Amino acid sequence: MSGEIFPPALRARLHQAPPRPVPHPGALLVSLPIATTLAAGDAPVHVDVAAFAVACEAVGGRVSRATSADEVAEVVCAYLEDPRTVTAWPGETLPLPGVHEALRARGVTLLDPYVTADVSARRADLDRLAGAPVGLTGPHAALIDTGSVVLSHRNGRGRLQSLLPPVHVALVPVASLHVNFTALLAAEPGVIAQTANLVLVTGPSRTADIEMTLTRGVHGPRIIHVVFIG
Amino acid sequence: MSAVAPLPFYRRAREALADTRLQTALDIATGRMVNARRQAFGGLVEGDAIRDHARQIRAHTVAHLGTYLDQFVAQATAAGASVSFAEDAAAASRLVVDIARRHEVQRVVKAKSMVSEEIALNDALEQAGMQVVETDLGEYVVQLDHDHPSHIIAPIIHKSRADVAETFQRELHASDEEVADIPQMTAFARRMLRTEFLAADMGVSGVNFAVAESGSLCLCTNEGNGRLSTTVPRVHVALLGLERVLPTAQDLSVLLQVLARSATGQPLTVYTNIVTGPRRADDPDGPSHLHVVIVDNGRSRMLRTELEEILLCIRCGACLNVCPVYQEIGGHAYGSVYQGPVGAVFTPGAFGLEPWAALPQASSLCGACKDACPVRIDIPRMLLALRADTVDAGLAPRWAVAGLRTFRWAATRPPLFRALAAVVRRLSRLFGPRGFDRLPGPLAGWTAHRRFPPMAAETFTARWRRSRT
Repeated sequence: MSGEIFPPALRARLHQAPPRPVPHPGALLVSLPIATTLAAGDAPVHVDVAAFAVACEAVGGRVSRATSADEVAEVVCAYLEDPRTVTAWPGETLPLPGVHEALRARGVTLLDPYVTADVSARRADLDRLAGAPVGLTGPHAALIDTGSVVLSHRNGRGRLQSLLPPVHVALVPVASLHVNFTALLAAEPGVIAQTANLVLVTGPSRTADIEMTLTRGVHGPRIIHVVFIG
Repeated sequence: MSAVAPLPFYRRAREALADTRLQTALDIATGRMVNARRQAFGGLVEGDAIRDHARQIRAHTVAHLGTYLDQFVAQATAAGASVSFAEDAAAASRLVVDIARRHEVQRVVKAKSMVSEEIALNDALEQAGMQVVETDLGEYVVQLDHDHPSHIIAPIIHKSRADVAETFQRELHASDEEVADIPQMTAFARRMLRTEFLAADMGVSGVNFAVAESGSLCLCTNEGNGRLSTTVPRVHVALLGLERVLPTAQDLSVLLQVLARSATGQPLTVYTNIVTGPRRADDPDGPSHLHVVIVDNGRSRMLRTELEEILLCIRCGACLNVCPVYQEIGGHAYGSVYQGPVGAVFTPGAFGLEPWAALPQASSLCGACKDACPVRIDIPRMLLALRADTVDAGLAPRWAVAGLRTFRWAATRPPLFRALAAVVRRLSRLFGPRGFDRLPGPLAGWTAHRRFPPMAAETFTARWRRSRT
């Protein structure tokens, strides 16, 4: 029914049967998530978080852990000088309650993340968000193999928080770790369709266009700091 | 060398070979990219099996392109995108200009898109009175310089940092401090382009992969300009090459495992941006309108032909970096938007053999491209097929056709061939008993970089016969 955008001659060409069958190879088998905890001495070590940290740091990202909203606020405030403003996802979309309150208690102003679709008022919204030194998000998942975080933008979760500020702080529950994108899709087949924009972020924004010399921090954040919760 | 047909390709290639700065830049850049790719695949468990799998996905999709395109169009439309089709470059440009006019667009930001280069979109938008800014750092420099990209993924591989500094000072009045080093120049470009992003009405992007089952578009970028172009402006126009579709999200995850590793040696690009329709009701930001323009421009002509396999290409650029010809002449010599081994097949295949008949000759058929290709495209096979087509169509240089015909005539007559060989052997030993340092006329090219050794006094067949008696 939708094929009418193609002219008839092209349609025939596109639907011409191949001379011999070319089957789809099926799903690529991926290893299942490794056991999440392992005892080393008397301190439990999270092998998944450690493996993620290796991959994330290899691409220039920072990784730490926090157990309370206060600890998260400390991480964020370490990146703030002036202005003390943050653009953040709504409190209920973050994996830890009370983060907004903890930031406000430290004198941080939280910006309204809404950007109007109205043509004339749009620029003012964008300019407001572009001035924030830190963006705070709560990614849907993290991928161990590549050190990536997966941002699912819906229900108030904005795209600009991980894009406009020079620093992006991402709060991820330890339970959201997956081996790689293939494994995430196997666990949650609808993850792409449930949002208008799913983004995998792997390290800080970078370029090597001039003389193939790596430079971090181009149009996106110069720093990405992943904080594991739990 | 006047015997060679005076095609622009040969002239451009000769100019590139004489450009010592270009030679140095190419040596450094291609070397680094080849190493990065090798290391990235070294760290990928079962990398060969994943490449095989990726190839099968691409081959299956191209074999059933109609089915998956129909599914993509239906799903993307259901997600709220407007999908249209352009048969050629002119139609594609016209469609994008119409979309821009309908949305009363004045300022356009562009993320990297090979299809947009192919259809010369910037010219069309500018002629319609709109301002267009390229936002990929390399493409930005290329636009300021009125130049062309010379590599699929590294557009200014042919420029030095001094060249870029000069461009920023000349075109944008950058201060000496702002161009002092590469990080300063990058920061300068960020400041200049940030203003453009915030003021833009429309963002134009390419598409790395479209996903049929969900109607999604996947864009892979590193700088963040791709995300900004598709997030900040109120209208997003995505240019999709007809063949760049995949059946499922699972298939996308497999291709993503090989794309960035092959292109830049990264496990994934910094931003893997998957777009499914425009901004939804509860989204705080994002473009309100998404238009997808599916561009054919000669691609469908290759379906079910000996060149169909080039449609499996995922545009990683790995074949450029390993190609001994590309390493010497760089991208501009090819004269096409698509350079290197993939360009030497795709360009004549999609845009016509006659103007591009020289490109399939620009290969030593060493097979490095086939080895490097993440989806194992047999480029040398297609280069040979195109060379045969070139001869059949009467497009080969006359001297080459006449020369080969003469050779065949002699070589299929053994007594004559032996007699002629004996004459050449005797003459060469008479004039050059110790070989030649320099040969005359059109043969000079051979001795420019090596000696021509003395010919043996006795032929192989003669020695063979003697040793058996």
